[in-house]
Amino acid sequence: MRKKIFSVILAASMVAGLMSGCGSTEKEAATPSSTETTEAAEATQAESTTNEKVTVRLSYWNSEDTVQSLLDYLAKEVPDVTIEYQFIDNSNYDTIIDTQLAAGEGPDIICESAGSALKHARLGYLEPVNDLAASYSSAGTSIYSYEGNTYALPGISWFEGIYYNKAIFAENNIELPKTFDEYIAVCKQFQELGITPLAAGLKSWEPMLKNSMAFVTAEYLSTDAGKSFGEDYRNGKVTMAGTWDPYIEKWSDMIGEGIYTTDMIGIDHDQALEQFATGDAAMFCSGPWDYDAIMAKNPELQIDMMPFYGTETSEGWLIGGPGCGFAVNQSSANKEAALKILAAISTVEGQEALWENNQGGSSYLDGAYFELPEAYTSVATALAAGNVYCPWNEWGIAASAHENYGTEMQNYLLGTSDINETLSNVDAAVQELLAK
Amino acid sequence: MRKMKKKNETGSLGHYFILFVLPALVIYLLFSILPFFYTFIYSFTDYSDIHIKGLNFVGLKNYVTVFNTSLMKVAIKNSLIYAVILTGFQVILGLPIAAVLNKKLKSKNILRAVFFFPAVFSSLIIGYLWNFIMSSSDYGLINNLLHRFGLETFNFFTADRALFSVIFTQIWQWTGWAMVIFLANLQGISPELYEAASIDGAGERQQFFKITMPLMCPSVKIIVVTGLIGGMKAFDAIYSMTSGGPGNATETVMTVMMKKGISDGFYAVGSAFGVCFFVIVLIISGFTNKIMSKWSESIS
Repeated sequence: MRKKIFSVILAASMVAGLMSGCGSTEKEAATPSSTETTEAAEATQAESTTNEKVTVRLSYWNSEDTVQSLLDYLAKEVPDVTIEYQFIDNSNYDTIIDTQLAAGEGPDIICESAGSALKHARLGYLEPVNDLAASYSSAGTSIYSYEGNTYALPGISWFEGIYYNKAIFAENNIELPKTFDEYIAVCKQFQELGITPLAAGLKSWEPMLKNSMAFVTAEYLSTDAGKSFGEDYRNGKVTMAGTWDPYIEKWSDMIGEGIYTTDMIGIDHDQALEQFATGDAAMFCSGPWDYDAIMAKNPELQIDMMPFYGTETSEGWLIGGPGCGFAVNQSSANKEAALKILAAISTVEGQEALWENNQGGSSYLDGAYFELPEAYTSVATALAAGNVYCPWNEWGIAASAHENYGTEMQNYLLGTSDINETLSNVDAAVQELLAK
Repeated sequence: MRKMKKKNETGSLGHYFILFVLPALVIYLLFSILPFFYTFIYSFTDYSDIHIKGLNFVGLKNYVTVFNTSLMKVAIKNSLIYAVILTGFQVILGLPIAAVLNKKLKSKNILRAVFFFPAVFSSLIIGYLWNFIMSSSDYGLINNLLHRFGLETFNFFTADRALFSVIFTQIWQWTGWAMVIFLANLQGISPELYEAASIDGAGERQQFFKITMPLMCPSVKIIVVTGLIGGMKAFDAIYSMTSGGPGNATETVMTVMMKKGISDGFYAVGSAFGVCFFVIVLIISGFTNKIMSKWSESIS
């Protein structure tokens, strides 16, 4: 009998446990945003009168150590707010955040990519941050703007250029190129010397995406004729096929001259990095995030970074943009506290703290300038000229189609599609996303 | 006393039994049946990451999209190729290996362990391992050896070869697992049958085809059904070795469902694709079961 009672209690507790796990608390279930806004205001009032510490949750796709200095700074600068850092892996980040926001929940401060910020702004999930955005340059805030409001504040920029081995260049008396044609010539010189000019892991769709888009940026997107392409593209007024063809045709010298080869399709990013770090290749396209890994493999390596070039002499271009945009959840019960955190980030000191773990990037905040580490000397002029651009950031909710562009370029390299077919397939993917 | 005995008998627990079944039943309903039901419903709506509320009924539009999207057709074709080749080789290679390792060999235990060993690891680990072995760079084991012999680089990951390269690694990993299932079946075959056959003058080859093969039906059925279904759901090996590339050359049902249905936010189209996939797997399973049942009947 005792066993029977015990079994019944055990089974009942399992069911109860399961139900409680699947359910939500009364507080969580309150979803209407208007009610919550009132509650938030009341909560904020109560909070200010009692001086109690408020906890805000901040979600980001990078691990905590990449923003540790910022978190330390905020703990000191905004002592009445505690930040609960939530790392969500990049591969699941958008899915998790989308689901949480759709349920009227989610983090108080969300790190947004350009595409997801516009999507969330359109769905009414984000709080406008126009006042704070006014202290940032429009190059940083424009990609987070929707129907006249800005919904996220740009973080430290990321950029990608061409790392080069200074010793290999010096030993072979090879000058740094200043145009695309000179770059091709330099690569051919290395080939004649039996040195692999460029290490590339083309198993990933990223290298050809960035390399070719940097060329199109230098040749077309940065010119008066191409400046409005991004906006027109996301509004369905232009297509890539028929517009980008001549630029990609020219860029194809990278394939025609054997700098990008089909064998590279069998090499991944890490293997290409290894090839460059061990001195087996003269150049490698990447950004500051790979610097430590390269130096860890070969501490003696002397490297610098050069920008991508177009056919005309210029300061060169880097592919990049704001690393993440800080946005406030419209449904947050701690909206005031979250805005307070964003205000603290929007100071020179806040940007310095953010930059501390992201050295190499630059700030979009007016008056915040940082000294560039030595490894980026050759891109200093490009950075100073503001020649950092990420074309797909302009594509709105179709930004994720840049992956399609990368995979289509793999098909182009392998000869399974021509330029027009490649670009038409990207257009189709973009239009499908825009039509959602 | 009689009452106590009755209570301990299987199947006589009455309402009391429901309490034990309930937790598992609730979990099954919540995490399998209910999501499938919702997937089916969503497949007829315009549900996407932009259209979350106020969903509209769109009829068969999403199903038409599935069959008109070349990427999805490529994914179904690749998944079928993957499942059929992998399962076929598991049987073709696993059976003879099991038959050999069922004999009285001194090294049979170590050989069984060696063949089974790859199945112990996650497909992700195996994928990353073969990724290095098959790399076109000098760090790739195979190409490094080829270069030492003055031979050209062999690219395992071209559009034509990439899928077969992944399948090869999976055959390498899972043949040992099939072998173990076949071995278990083999050990259940009565030795008297072989003795009788040899008295009747049957050679080893005849014994294999006339006794071993027909009586292996149950294990072959397990390998074929689980292999085909598992193969159709291939994700981890593809993800770790090619991520669906180059281009879309190795996209499978699961990788496309992840990209289109989840990452790109086409939830309704993803749901329709999931329902189509369910029907395809159902047909394959039914067809395989029927063939295997006929085989069983012919033996009996």
